[in-house]
Amino acid sequence: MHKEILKTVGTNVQRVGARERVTGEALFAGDLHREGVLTLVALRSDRPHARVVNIDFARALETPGCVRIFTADDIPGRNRLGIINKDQHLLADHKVRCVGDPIALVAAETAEAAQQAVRSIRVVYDDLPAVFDPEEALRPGAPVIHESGNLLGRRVVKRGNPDAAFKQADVVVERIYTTSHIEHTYMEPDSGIAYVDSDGTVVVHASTQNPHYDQKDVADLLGVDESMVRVVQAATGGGFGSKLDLTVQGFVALAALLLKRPARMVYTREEAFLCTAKRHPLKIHYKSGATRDGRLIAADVRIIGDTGAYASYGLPVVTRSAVHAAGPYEVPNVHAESVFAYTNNPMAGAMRGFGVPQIAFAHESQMDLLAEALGISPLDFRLRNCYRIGSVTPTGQELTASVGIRATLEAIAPYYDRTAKEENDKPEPYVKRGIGIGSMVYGIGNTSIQNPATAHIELTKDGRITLFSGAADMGQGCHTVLVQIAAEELGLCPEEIHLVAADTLFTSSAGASSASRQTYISGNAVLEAVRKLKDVLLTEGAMILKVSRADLVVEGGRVYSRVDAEKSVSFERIARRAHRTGLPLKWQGYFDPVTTSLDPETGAGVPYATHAYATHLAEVEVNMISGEVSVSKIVAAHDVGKAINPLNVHGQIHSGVAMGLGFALMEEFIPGKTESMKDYHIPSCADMPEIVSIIVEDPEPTGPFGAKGVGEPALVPTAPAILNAIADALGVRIYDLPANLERVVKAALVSKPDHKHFHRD
Amino acid sequence: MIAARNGDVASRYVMDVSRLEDLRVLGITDGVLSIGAAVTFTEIANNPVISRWAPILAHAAGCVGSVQIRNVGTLGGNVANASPAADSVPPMLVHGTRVLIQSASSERLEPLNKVIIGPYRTNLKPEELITRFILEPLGNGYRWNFQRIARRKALSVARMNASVVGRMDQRGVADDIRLSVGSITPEPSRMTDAEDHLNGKVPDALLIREAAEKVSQEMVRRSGVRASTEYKRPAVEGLVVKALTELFLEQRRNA
Repeated sequence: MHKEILKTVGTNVQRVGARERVTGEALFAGDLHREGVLTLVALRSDRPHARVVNIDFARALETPGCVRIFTADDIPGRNRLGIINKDQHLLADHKVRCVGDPIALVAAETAEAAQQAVRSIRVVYDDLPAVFDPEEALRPGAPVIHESGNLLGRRVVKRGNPDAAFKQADVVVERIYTTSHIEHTYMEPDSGIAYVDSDGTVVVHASTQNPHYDQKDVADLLGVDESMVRVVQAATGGGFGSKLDLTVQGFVALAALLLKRPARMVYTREEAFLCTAKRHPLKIHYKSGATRDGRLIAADVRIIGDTGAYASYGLPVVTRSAVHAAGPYEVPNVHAESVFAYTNNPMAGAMRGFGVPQIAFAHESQMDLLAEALGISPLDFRLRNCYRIGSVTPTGQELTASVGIRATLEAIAPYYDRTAKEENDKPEPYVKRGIGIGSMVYGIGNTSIQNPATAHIELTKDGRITLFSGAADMGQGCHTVLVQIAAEELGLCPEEIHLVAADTLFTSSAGASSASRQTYISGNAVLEAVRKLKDVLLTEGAMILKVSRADLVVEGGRVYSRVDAEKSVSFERIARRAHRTGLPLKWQGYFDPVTTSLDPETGAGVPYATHAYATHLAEVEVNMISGEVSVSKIVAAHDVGKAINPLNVHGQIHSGVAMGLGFALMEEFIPGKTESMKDYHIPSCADMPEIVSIIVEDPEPTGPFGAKGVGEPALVPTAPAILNAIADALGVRIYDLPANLERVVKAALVSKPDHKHFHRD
Repeated sequence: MIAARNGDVASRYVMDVSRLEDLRVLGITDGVLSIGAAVTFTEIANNPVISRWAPILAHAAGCVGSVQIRNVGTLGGNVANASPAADSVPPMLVHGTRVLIQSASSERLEPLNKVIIGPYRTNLKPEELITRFILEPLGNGYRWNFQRIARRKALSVARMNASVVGRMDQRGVADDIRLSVGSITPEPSRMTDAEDHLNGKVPDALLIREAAEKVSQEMVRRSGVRASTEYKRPAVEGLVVKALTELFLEQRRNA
């Protein structure tokens, strides 16, 4: 691998944009002002499924300050949007499919006027039968939500012969697991502002994870060429997958284009809760079998998912949940089948992990149940079965490098003392302690489809370096990582690289900031671009210095001779000379991970070029009478290939633990009931445990400096570890997330006799 | 304000009463503790007079929401909102609190449990304003205990809360036990069956357990069996057992 000493990669350089955020100078879309800006507010459906018979806005238009009210008829282009399936409408045309569907859009001089006008619009609905359960939605005679039917997608992954293998199993465990809708609860609600530039271009500044996709869908909505739409990512306060969808972008662009005035839209928290994507709730029927000597031999996994009214990123979740169903273990016989249906619930979409956090909860619970049945420690059972070099995944992919799962298990092992809880003094008689572990595998990048990134690097005439990347940074830190990669390869300090990012006018597409892909994929694209430029620098340097190219190194903005340090030439001089001779100084890099499509019958194929691995250990204290669970400690070991910026990796892990803790214990979005953060709890600082985060580096040969990714993996093992720890404390397992007060008390009431009771015995 | 923003409440004027002197009184006079309706939770939590005469209220006030909420949230607002989960209500009930309600032309003094008549419902009439709370101070020799269950450790509405005060004589006989539990009955009240069961006896684990069951029985009697009862019955028993155990057994052991 990279034997040379790295100067920037692997160091905690200051995050790009950190100063601006700390000082409050960073401008989020809601902070951006344009003279004469209009405020937009949408009227949204309060019906889950209904035909829209009439929209009467005559009275609303008379509201002082109301400028215009748009309906579907006003959309000049194609009233369709959606990242994969174009099944959403910017404004409802004939019917609404869930509560929150936009019906009309008010543009007004002030927010108050816009809200007042929205309240004055009268909609006549013709209610249709609605369905809220995905299994019911797939039954004959169920209400039809989309003309194409209620089935979103189905994915089967088959390996070996599970039926035969189960007959040979000494232990078989079969359970059903459920998870709930989860709201991303990013700090900054969706926001954007648009205006028409002097050349007629519609410019949209938005809170987004995906500016190049936004550009395309907005252009289609407006019926203009993509070149007439420019999308710029404003400073973005978190996305976690939800800001991959188009939210405000289409509205602000429509109003700006048709009214020739700037238009701004900022969702309220209630609106972000009501009408942005949620994590898919899954129901997982899991059967697994092992032999007496502790080997997993079979898994049969049936997954049913609810994508709500629209597809959003549902299809990748269908596939990813099936592909990851067996976890980071070699299971020779697997049948995994994932079926997702449309319902009249809120749309579910991408959320940090794309179905893997849900399926990991199931496979890790199964691992502990099997280990218990076999009388093997949960840690040993995982060590016996975890992937190694040469392992074959359920899709038939052979793992050839960077398989760090064992190393993550070994990293947490010193903390895994199952007897400690007995010896420690117990704080209260009704509090029980438990310890649990959870592991995961996560495929980096989109599943079995091309998902390239491009990047450009330019040497300016005065010898400075500008990096162009289309990648959006929502707070996860990919801009810093890309700058570090470029700086390392060019021998510069990171602050010497000028970054232009996530602006469709100046950057080409890097693909979405999703699937933990930007470090690996955009990182490689940056590296390729930089290497092309470096090649020019070395070739030109050799000519100018009249030395052998092989003796040259690039460092500190100069090209040096390794043999004779006196011989050097600055980037600036090379740039001037190249400019005179017409040599290009802006180079493109491109990277697309090598994957293959999956066989539609068996799921066989290579869905990902590389995988990240992780194990978390959780220590919990369970209050038997109130159901309160306090997570006292999380030890989190992550194989990231190479930590380009270790502090950033630790930051990702900490944030993943917070999100995973919420998923495990308290987060539950109940459609039709949950309104905002008043009735939806995410962990507070007081709920956060002590976190020991451990970086494992098993380098990925195809990764930039060996790097893979950590954004989503950070979250995945936390909930499984916590739930296994609760089961350890109570001797009773909880199969439904979240493990809230009610579920914990219910479990505590049937706790086994050897798990001593406080007030019921 | 949220309801007003949503257009659910229409009023031509909103009056800021937070700085009216009459609503900000705080002190002991003629043997009663007066707390103005506009006194904030932060002030209650930090006030030495309240800590001396109503420590359970000071403690409960410190559990409300967050620092920001406690800085602006008031006792009057908490009672007028009449949430079953209000953290200040059970502590005020065990202090026999009466509420002074005034209007331009009238004035009435009513027990707190008569003012709150149901979830988010009070008997306040239009043009009436809660101006003051009158509490019976806790005498010497009284113990107190406050318990709270929430879905997270901070910034959370209580799922359930319990307040208990009382005293024991030298033989360990319980006397003047006053117990109130939030979020288990439609309107707040004292748990008199449980109190009667404890008064005049020496509390032990069994007696405490029986008292807790009386609370859960009263909850079911008044609220009916609901989906939440499966949780609330064991939880309220556990909460009351914990409160009474800490009040009688652990403090006695510590004494």
